[in-house]
Amino acid sequence: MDEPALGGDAQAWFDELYRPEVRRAPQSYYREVRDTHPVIRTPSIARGEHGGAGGDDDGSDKTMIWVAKRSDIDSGLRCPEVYSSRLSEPVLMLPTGVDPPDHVKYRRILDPLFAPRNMNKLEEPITQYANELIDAFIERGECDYITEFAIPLPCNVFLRLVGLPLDELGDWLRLKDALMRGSGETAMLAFAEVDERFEALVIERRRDPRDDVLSQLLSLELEGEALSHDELLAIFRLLLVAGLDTVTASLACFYSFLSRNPEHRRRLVNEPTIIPAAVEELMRYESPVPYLPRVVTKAAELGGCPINAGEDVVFMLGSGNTDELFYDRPDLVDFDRPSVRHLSFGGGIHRCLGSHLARIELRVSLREWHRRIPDYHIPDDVELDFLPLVPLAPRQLDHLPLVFDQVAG
Amino acid sequence: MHLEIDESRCTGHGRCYDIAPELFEPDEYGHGRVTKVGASGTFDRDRALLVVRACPEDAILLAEG
Repeated sequence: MDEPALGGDAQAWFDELYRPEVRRAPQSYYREVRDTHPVIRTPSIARGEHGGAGGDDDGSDKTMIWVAKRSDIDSGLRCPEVYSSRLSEPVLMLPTGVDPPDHVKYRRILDPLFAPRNMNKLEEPITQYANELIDAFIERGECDYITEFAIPLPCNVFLRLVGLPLDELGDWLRLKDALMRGSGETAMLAFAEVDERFEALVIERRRDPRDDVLSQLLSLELEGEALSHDELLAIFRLLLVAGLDTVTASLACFYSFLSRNPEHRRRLVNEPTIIPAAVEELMRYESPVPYLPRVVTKAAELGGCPINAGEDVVFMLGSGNTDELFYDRPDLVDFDRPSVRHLSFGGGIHRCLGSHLARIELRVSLREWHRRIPDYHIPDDVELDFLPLVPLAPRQLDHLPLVFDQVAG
Repeated sequence: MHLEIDESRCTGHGRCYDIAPELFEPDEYGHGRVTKVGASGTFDRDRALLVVRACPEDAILLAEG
């Protein structure tokens, strides 16, 4: 049995993780990791630390195990008894922060709210909104894809669905960024502000229920009892960080690829029926949410390596999605790949609650955009700068300038 | 030949009813459910295998009986 490779080159490991080239195109990095360190133990990295090697600042000697092979990731995600979601987070989020049996109870009441039968109704309004956004910049012949499309589309859909005032988008985005990427104190202040705002919203909705997810949450019952304020708040926190970040990140990844690959773009234009398959393949190859954290509950074995209770684990979904033992020619983006089976919405019991909504948003975005703007490119002098990868943060761009070469009106 | 879903494994990715709506449909939780056609065996075997392979949880079984 091999001991996981230990700390000696941990600094090099983290330096590599944060290199701009790796952030931009991590696929070859994943391959190298699978070849050299399919399971590696490093010092633990706290959430929100982007500086480099973590773990030492607070004097803790906590360790973290990175898992790169698809077979190990699959078995880990399907084994919540060993790989727990009860991470030492500053605040609780539900249902991502709990294990069975509690987890199942929350999912039974939340899944119906985000199930296809409800989400499919949103296709029409999302289509309309996507076109309104395109109307605003199409004649200019260029746009910043992130600020003018990838942020407003999913975020407005989310605000409407949950029932938050549309003119508060800026505030909620600021809070989401502080929660996801801020360091200790910034994140805690943001959590406090979210708590306060949520309290006001709850009072408002109890008085005046509407047709939105907030009102639905208030009427949910768990084993005959309404959810407590703390439970509601923990669910709300999750909706916020998941709903305001992940689809934006996915669109950023998709368009950074498509704007550099005209032959793939052309197929979306000429064969719009392949768009659902293209979404799956781009989700696989780009893996917008590349890392999924867990904590070990008891001594176990992972990929032939002994691991201990209390250790942090990071399942490298992006690596699992490009594992050559699992896919034929994994580094090829192939919209004709049969049965693309990826882990970009996670795997096991914590499968992304919003995946059905996300798929609709991504498909509509690709369809409407390529119908109206079939050809576009990134200006030559622009270098894409993906934000640093922290364990929980998606791959994200602040800006993606696009120039249109052809518009269809 | 018929299709089955192992409910202890299904977590509601929805790939089955997305790819082959004639063989699977979503329940109110978004988990997959076998349709009459999927249960009856009057379907193309290769198409069924495509869906079996697409399930991220290995929750779909093509029973040959």
